[in-house]
Amino acid sequence: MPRGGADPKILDAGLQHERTTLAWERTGISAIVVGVLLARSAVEASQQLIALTGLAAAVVGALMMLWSSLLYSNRMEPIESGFDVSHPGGTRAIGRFTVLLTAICFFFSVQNLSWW
Amino acid sequence: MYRLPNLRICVQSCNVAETSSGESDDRRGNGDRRRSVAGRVVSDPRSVGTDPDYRFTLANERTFLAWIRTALALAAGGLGAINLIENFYGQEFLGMLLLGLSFITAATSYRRWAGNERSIRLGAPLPASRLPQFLTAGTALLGVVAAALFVIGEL
Repeated sequence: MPRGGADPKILDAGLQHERTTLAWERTGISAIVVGVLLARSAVEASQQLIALTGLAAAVVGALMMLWSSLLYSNRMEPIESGFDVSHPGGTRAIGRFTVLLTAICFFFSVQNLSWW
Repeated sequence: MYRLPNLRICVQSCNVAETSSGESDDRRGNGDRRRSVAGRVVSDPRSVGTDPDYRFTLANERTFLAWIRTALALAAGGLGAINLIENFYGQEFLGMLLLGLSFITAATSYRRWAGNERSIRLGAPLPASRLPQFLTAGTALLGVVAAALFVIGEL
């Protein structure tokens, strides 16, 4: 139920819900880009396992985009009825995924430094 | 198909304190108290306060996603600097700094989201953090370092 100064007859007058879904989609696209970059770099360094990890990250990015569309439809009801719309499980999962991906990128790059 | 848990507004008495364990068991689900890497307890923010206006929750979620995208963009920059740019003096140094910054940003994102969500639910001021200043200064410094390395490499 819209609160504050919004017209109660209009659901989500500020388009907060749509903007959040688009933010999820942009994040998915970013994950795909980093995954592809990691896969390409790993193939050049002949590290097939890391290349597969990069591809898996790209798949997770694509799944994130699909999930965001499910989240969009599932959140309509809680928004309308005024219930909580937070999703700690999804947020935690994406947080952990990003930590893991950035750590893999870091250690892959450390391993391939020309300093050694 | 994924379904959101049916969350009810917490009783008035739990406005500023955590709900008792019995009362909140069904609300916490499997997201109850967890231990972070640092050993500190990270609770599900839904275990405190009252359900806030959905606009605040979604704004907090978008901010979290913006941090995640920042971490991913820094990772892409780091990988690109090391592996894609050819013959750039100091590219590995620059790339490692970007990747380090990326990891720090990613590692602090969830904790920031949970802290903000908790404050929103309690009606308390949002927790202050120096990370945005640190990240801005770090990225600006890296830009200057990259320009300096480019000039040095061309000399």
